[in-house]
Amino acid sequence: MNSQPLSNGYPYRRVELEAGGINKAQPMKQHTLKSTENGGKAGSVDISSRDPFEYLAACHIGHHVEVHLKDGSVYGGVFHAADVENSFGIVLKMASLIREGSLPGMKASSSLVSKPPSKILIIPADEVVQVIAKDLPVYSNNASNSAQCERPLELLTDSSISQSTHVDLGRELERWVPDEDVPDCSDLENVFDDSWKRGWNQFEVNKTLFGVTSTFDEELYTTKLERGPRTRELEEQALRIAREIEGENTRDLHVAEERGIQLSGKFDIDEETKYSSVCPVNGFDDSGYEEDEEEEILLNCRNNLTFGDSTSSDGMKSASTGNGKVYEESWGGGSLSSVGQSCSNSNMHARQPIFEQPSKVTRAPGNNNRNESQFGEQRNIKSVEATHYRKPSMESVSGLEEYVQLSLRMCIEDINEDAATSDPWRASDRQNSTDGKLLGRLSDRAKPESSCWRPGSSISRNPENSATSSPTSRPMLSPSSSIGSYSSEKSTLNPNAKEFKPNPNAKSFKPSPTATRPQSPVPEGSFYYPPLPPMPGIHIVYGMGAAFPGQHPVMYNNTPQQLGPNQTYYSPNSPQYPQQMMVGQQRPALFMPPSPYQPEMQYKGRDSY
Amino acid sequence: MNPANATATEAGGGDEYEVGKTYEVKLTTGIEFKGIVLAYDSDPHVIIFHEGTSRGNCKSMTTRTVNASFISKANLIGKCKDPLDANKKKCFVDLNGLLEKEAIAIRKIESIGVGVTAEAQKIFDALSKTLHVKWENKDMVIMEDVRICSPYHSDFVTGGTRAANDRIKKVLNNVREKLQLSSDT
Repeated sequence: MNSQPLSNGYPYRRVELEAGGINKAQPMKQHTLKSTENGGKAGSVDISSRDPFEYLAACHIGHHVEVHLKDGSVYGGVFHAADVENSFGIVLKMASLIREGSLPGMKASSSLVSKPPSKILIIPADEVVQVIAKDLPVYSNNASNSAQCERPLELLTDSSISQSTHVDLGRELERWVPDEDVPDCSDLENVFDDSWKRGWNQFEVNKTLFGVTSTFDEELYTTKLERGPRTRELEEQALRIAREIEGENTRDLHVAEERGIQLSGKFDIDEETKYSSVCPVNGFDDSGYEEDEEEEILLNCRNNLTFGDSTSSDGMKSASTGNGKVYEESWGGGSLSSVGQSCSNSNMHARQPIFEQPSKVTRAPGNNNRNESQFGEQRNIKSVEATHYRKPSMESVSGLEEYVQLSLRMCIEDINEDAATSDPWRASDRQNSTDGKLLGRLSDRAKPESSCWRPGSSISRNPENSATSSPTSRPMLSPSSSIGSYSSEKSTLNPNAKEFKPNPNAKSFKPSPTATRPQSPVPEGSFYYPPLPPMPGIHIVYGMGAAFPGQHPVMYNNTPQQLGPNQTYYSPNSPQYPQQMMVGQQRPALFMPPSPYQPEMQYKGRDSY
Repeated sequence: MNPANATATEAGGGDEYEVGKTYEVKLTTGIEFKGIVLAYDSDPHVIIFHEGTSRGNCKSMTTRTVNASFISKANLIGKCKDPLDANKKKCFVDLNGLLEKEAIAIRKIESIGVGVTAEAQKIFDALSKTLHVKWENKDMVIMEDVRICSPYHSDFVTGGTRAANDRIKKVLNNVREKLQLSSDT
């Protein structure tokens, strides 16, 4: 190494270069490490056979050292390399002059502080007097964890910790506490709080950055929203209903769990009870009541769908008020009505006008209906204003809005409501997705083993149900309408059920020959006939669930008939499902319109049974 | 190599700087110390001393690598065996670890600002715990994007995207609060 006089007067070369860019440094480095690198496995070198000199020299690497020079200057820096083979030249990184040696006094120069350290400093061997390395770790074993012994400020990866043999395997784990100096930026989260308003479009970004075109179509995953001039209105209604539903209290264990509400004070309810969908024999403490009501609701909804809303107190208003009620239809579903309300007669009158009154949204006067909002969805033509059936059982359903919607549509409505503009087959507007959802949803609901509907009870329980007030005026359900069979296994009867009195004014049903009905992709076999309590005088009308758009409404014979217990009404137009189908189900299954509906099929009337 | 200005070559104990011998050394520069010889190489004529007269803890030591040319006086004061335990165990050097160590040391030195105030350095240190900060003369440069100039208030934060800028301002304010610095530093 030649000493070259430099402009600054120092006889050695001060190089301000990035690492690796020095020709001089390379050979030195190579010399230093050559012997050590040949030794052993990667990362560690066996130099037991070598001179401890090299070993010690290698140990210096990375250590902060002080180099005393001949002239008394002292340089401090990180030891990078030393030419062990030839002379003992030193290469330092980030070296800075600690003490100037050219002055006889060798005092520390404070002005040196303001100079940035040189990235690489090569000191020729003959200048080196001594190199002092303080607290140099000298390892005699394999586990050289020099990086670990560094300040803990450096991040230690888990693997480096676990691989180190210096770590006690049984060390006491301490809870992490943040450093004192670390700035507490807990409120930094607010910076991107309104990210949803930022107008961030991930798809665009992906396209820009990566050239990836998205094929995402929202409608593949959810119900298609129909955005029209009424979108705003519908959204508001949807939000309103959502708020109502979400604000409800629930007594159902499962729903409360979903909502994160500690429902039961008893903490001995184990996980199985909480999360299982299998009901114990005795039922849940708080779900028995609701389940019945759910059934009732469903039952009633079905009826409603079948027969539409005939909520007039005398039951006949419906006929005349074809325009009175236009229901906000979430899924084109039916309206809610109480059991037995739907008057086929009224339906007959109301049916046609209903069909021809698409998209009219009115609120049924004088009742407690709540708008069955679309929750952003909008179905075809009809809007059905559905009553929000405020019952505990409803709460269990209303965990999810959509499901609520569907169930509500089938649920009991205020009888006093203007009737029968609803068309039972408007339920056919409901698209299969919703039906499917309902199916899934209902099946999820835990039910006590008694899985029958008690329509009568629902009538009585519904405060809004005008059926309670005017049972006599309720239009008789057509016996030919599909009625769920009474389950022989029904264990509990609704004590509050009222007797169903057929509507004497109901007229017989005559289906119109021009009925057309779009094919519903709903698979057959999913029609649910909830079992009915064997209560005399109760007509349980099962809607076909067939609110098919455009379908010619099947008007059932409205002749009031008393159903004896254990008699089963079946919809003429729908496949007849065995009772077992319902019994076997532990919970209310889906309410799905049967698949291929032949409008030409004539109703044979009750006589056929 | 024959050092031209060697004032003393073999003083005191002569050529035999054996491993394990304890010397009292005086250098031509006037520095004196005592140490045990750990290693000796005659070609570059360098002796590595373990400072201190006793072996002590084997894990870490203060070593002096002395160019023998500059030893003016070396008095043998003792002898001990095998200061490095080299004969008992195999010595290994973790090169990767050492390189990492070096990188860490360099980073640490780089994090020290040159000619900046102590408070500025404190701010820098606090910022560097969660951000990638570098000194650029007297400015702090974060993620090579946002720059904080003296006197390192949130008003002096420039550059970067708006979101980044805001964030840095927030962090800076937090840091200042934590350090309880007055606003005129």
